[in-house]
This record gives sequence, structure tokens and C-alpha cells, in this order.
Amino acid sequence: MSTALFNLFLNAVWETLLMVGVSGLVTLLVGGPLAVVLVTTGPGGVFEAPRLNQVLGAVVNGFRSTPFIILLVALIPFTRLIVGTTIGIWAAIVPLSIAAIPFFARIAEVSLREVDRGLVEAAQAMGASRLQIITSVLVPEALPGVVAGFTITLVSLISSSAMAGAVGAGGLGDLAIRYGYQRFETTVMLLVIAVLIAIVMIVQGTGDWFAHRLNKR
Amino acid sequence: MTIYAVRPHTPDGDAAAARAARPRHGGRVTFENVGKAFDTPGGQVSALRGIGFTVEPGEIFGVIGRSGAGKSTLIRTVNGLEKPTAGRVLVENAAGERADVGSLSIGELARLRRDIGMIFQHFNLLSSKTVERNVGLPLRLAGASRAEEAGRVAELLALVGLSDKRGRYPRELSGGQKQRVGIARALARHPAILLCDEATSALDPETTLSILDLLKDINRRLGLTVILITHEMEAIRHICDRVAVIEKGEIVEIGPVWQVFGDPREEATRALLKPHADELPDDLSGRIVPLPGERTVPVFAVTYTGAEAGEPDLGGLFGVLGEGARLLHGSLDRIQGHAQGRLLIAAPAVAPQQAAQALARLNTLPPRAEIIGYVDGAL
Ligand SMILES: Nc1ncnc2c1ncn2[C@@H]1O[C@H](COP(=O)(O)OP(=O)(O)OP(=O)(O)O)[C@@H](O)[C@H]1O
Ligand SMILES: [Mg+2]
Repeated sequence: MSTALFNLFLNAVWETLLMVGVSGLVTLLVGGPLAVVLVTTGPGGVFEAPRLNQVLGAVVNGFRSTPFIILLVALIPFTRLIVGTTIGIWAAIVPLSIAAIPFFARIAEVSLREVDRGLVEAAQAMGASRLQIITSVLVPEALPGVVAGFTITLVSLISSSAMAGAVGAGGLGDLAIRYGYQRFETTVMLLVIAVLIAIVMIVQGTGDWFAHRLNKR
Repeated sequence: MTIYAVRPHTPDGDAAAARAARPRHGGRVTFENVGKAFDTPGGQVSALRGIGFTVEPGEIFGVIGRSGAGKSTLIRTVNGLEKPTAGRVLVENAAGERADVGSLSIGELARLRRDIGMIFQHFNLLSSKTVERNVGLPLRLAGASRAEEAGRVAELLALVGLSDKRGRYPRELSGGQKQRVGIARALARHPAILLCDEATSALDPETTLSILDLLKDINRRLGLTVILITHEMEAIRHICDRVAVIEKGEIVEIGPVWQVFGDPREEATRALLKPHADELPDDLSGRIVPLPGERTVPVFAVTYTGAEAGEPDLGGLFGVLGEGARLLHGSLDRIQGHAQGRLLIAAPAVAPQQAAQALARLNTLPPRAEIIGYVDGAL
């Protein structure tokens, strides 16, 4: 591999990490609270609100059932509105986040829902406010599951980011298409695969380690 | 049947415990014609009907009833986890301020709840927090500083005898230890009332006794009112002053424990007592009466738990019980070198006014002793 190609390769790795990192962060910041809202407005939740819960649930399901590649295209006008362009990694971050947010929210919702009702009741009996119940009971108790869920989300973001690369977003997917596929550079293709596997393994391993560390049950 | 002093629980760290034990008065709870109906898809379920009684400050009050009788629903109306659909529940704190629980705003309810501790059958500890953090939770919720929290938590852990477990997580504790953490947490803000919903139902008999002893000890030292819900009559018998029997959402019998259990008037009460009454042979349980009479003789139950060193000292025993003591019933087993069992001894030489003194002496021997009733001395 030439030095130029190697530099391209390093750049692609960086772009992938950036795309996954930023969209992961956005997913965490939006999807986490969304999960809390889904659980607390649900039946028996501390902020029970059936209508809001139904509407949110329907929106989340809508995004969840749309295949990513379709979302990628369908969101082009929205992406342009937000980042001013439809190509490059920043443009890819929009659909990536929008696909990952409902995915993560649903996984985190399951962990939050699994928190024993008795704990919520104990906190109520102590005179905890509803916000305190969320911050001192629901979130800390669900944290190991939420971390495990976020790990899965990151891994799926890595594969989606490669897909986004196919439509000109940059990153490893883009490199694999342009060099590995269109120019038959098998080495590039193999390297991309190897690096993607390595990234997934590191992310999964770190996530598992954290989830395990946090789990005191 | 009535029960007298049983060996008191002595937690370690007495000095710290004494500080935690700022004596104060307990709260009063009054149920006024309380009713509760639940709306369910299958129609209305009436869980409580016409409940009316008062729990006095400093008392240990038991509510016993079968599964589904409405015990949990009843106790939950005291701290507003359940709202009555009829009548009202009045809670009066140590300062004499009275609140109608059902009519409080969210803020007022939160304030009331800080004055009422609650412990649960399944402990309900946060699995993600250490013992220390669990006990300190009510303080943090109320905005206590770190230093305040640390000081109070240390006192509380000494009170329940768990100072050495402060950095542990709940999963590393036994059931009895978890309940001790639950108790410490419930006491964190010096409540005037402690609610116990089946607090010992998930524990083995021995641990149950140690938790009950702890509750009694806390009640004596802190003077707080304890309301204890259970389906186990042992628990009531062991520590309660008064008891109410609840059946299908209604109170069917209420009174001092010795009275209700010694002379049950309702079928529901008898049904609850049955498994316990079976402990004694029929002829004997028929002869034992709960209160001393004209020519009665006290019956001492002397229990060897196996915890004491050495073999039962019968000489010492009869030295206390005096001339003419008769062994009515009993058995002792030797299990791995420890004597375990219970002896029922009638002691004609012990006059009624000396009974308490004799008990105190027996308890220094030390088996565990109690007076379970009286038999006719002529027999
Ligand atoms: N949230 C609820 N919705 C509908 N019905 C309820 C609800 N809570 C309790 N009930 C009903 O009220 C009755 C009393 O229930 P409660 O939990 O107070 O009984 P309990 O005496 O505590 O029983 P256990 O010993 O099994 O805990 C039961 O028939 C129960 O089915
Ligand atoms: Mg119950």
C-alpha cells in the first residue's frame, strides 16, 4: 500500500470514529431522557400520561421500523436544514443519530422498566419527589442495563456508519467502496474489515467491562 | 397467651447507639371509618371497610390477617401510598400537629412521609448502592450535607449492629442483615412512626426473632410508634402490645395481645392461632389459662436455644423455681453438642408478685424464659 493510500486509510478510521462518537453522544443525550420519559409517562409511572406516552411510542416505533438505508435518503432535506450539506461525515451524523435514538431509547426503556416497583415505593415512602425518584432510584438501578444497551447501540452505529459511507459520507465504508470494490484493492478491503472488527471488539469489551463493574445485583 | 420479658437485643456500639437514640415521643394514628375500593377491569374490589381504631404514641401495634385480607392496603394509607376512598386517616406527630393524610398536597405529603419510616418484606434496598449509601438515602433526599449524612449513618449502623458492613452491597448481605439496613434507613430522619409491612415474612424463624427484638429495642429506646403488619402470629406475640385481626377488609377483633390470643372470640382469629396452639398437647393447652386466678400456678417456658455454652443447669433452674416445681411438658435435643429445646415447668412456689423476679433470675442462667400462662394449682 502506498503512503498516500495509507494516509487515506488513517483518515477514514478517524472519520468513522468521529461519526460514531458524535452520533453516539447525541444518541445518549437524547435517547436516554427519551427512555426516561417513555417509562415514567407509561402505565404506573411516576408521571403517568397515557396520551403523551402513546404518541411518543408511535413515533419511536415509526423510526424503528424504517430501514436505515431508507431513512438515510428520506432525511436528506432535514439533514440539509440542520448541517447545510448532504455529504460528508457531519451530514451522516444526522441520520445516524436519528436512527440510533429510538433504538437506544427502547433498550434503555426495558432496563428502566425492570427496576423493582418496590424500590420506587420505598423512595416515595421516604418522601422523595418524582424527579428524585428518577435520579436516585430509576437511573442508578437501571444503569448496568443501560450501559450494556448503549454498547449494543454503538456497535450498530459502527455498521450503520459504514453503510452511510456508501452514499458518500466518508469513513471506512466509503474507503472500502471506492478502493476495495471499485478499484479491486483487496488489501484495502481486508484492512477495513479487520479494523472494523477491532473497533467493534474494543467497544464491546469496554462496554461489557463497565456494565459488569456497575452491576452490584 | 401473654408473654413477658425475653432477652433484650444488645447491638454493638452502645455509645453511638445511645446518641442515635434521642428519646422522643411517638406519633398517633387514628383511622376514622376508613374504606378503600379499587377499580379493576373486573369491577370494584372493596379492600377495606369501616376501619376505625387508634394507635397510641409509643405503642407496638400489630395487624394480623390472612393473605388478601387488606393488611398492606391498611398500612399504606398511613403514609399516603394508598388513598382511602372513604373516611380519613389522621396522623399526629410528636409535636401534636395533626394531618389528614388523604387531603395533603404533594409537598405536605412528602413532609409527612419524612416523619414516618417504613420497612418492607423484600427490604427494597437499592442494589446499586452500598449499605452506607442506602441508609443515607432519606437524608440525601432531604438535602442533608455529606458530613451530616456520614455522622447519622454511623449512628444508625451502630444501632442495628452493622457498622462493619457499611461498604458492602445488599447482595453481599443475608436477609436479616438486609432488613437491619432497611430498619436503619427507616429511622434515618428520627421518625415518630415506623410502619412494618411483613418485615419478617421472608426470614427464617431465628432471624425473625432477632429482627423483632431489634424493633422492640428501638421502640423502647426511641419511644416511636410501631405498626406491624403480618400473617405470622409469632411476630405479634413476640413484641406487640395490642393487635387487630383483619378479615376480608374489616377489623373483626382488637385488643391487648394476651387477650385476643388468649381468648380469641372470632373464628378468623382462631384460624390464625391454630398452627401455634398445636405446639402443646391438647389436654395441656386446654388447662393453661392466660391470666393468674385464685389458685393458679405460673407456667414457665424455659427455652434452650443452643447458643449458651454448656449443658442445661437443672439445679440452678429449680433453685429459682423452688419447692414442688413440676415438669409439665418439654423436650431437649442435643444437636452437635448444643442443647436445644423447651421445657414447660409449673412452679407453685413462685407467688404471682415474684414471677417477674423469678423470670429475671432465670434469664441470667441463661436459658430464655417466659411465662406462657397459668394452670390450676390443685391439679
Ligand atoms: N392496586 C390494587 N388494585 C386492585 N386491587 C387491589 C390492589 N391492591 C390490593 N388489591 C386487593 O385488595 C385486597 C387486599 O390486598 P392487600 O394487599 O392489602 O392484602 P394483604 O392482607 O396485604 O395480603 P398479603 O398478606 O398477601 O400481602 C386484595 O383482594 C387485593 O386483591
Ligand atoms: Mg400485604
